[in-house]
Amino acid sequence: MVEKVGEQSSEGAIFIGAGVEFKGDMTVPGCATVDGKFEGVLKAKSLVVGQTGNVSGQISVETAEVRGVVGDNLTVQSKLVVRSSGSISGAVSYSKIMVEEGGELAGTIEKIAPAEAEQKIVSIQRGE
Amino acid sequence: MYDCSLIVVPQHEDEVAEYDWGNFPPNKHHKGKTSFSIIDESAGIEGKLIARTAFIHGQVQGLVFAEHVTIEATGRVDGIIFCRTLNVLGSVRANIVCDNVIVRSGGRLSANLKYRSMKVEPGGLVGGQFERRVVIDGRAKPGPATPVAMTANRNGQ
Repeated sequence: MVEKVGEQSSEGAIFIGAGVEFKGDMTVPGCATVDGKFEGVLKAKSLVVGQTGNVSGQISVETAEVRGVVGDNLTVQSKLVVRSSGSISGAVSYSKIMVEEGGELAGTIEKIAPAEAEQKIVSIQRGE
Repeated sequence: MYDCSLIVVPQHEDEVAEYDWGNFPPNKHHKGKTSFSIIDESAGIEGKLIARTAFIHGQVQGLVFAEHVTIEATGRVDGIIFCRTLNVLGSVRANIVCDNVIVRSGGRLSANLKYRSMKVEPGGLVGGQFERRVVIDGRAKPGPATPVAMTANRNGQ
């Protein structure tokens, strides 16, 4: 099986619980776990979207594990894991991917080299 | 024998979605036998491949219309794929309408894809425009075969 994304990190992390709605920009050095709703710009080392989670906006992370819903722009520098309850729509870029049966991918899917991903993240930060 | 040229290839994704695979001529013709077609490594097809189950080790340029399609590690398909289940271990660049798609490790799928359920194993590669088809009624349609499926259409595409 695939190792779990975003565990045992000593770096700063954030947890958005179920029912919590957050709108805005966020930079997380560690793991961002979203069980509630997030809308905006998110830059993090890893992103974990729980079953009840809903994330939309400009998301750029190194690794992501999706059990809930992710919309708009998602850039994953290294590994993207979509679990069976996960659903991603919009523009997705990744360098490694795994989708469990039942997981949904819709929109424009693109594979990128990790170096390209970095450039993409920089341009997102600049707002280009 | 059925006349292959009488098989109407769906022109639209909705037709594939409602396609009555139980009355797909190659399915009816096999009469319970286990039958499949292999395009081997040295073979290539330009045009239409219509089969019940197809294992593609070689190259296909054009249309693949089958209930079950497996593109093996050495296989390559460029064109259009209409099927029920699609297994990708090789390389595909196509417009695809299917029910289930599985991209295995080493498989490369670059497609305009409409699917119902998908799975990408680690090491698989996917790209392109994807769209999930909404399942209105997962069960096979009751009643006789759709008359459309028996209309003559020699052009195919």
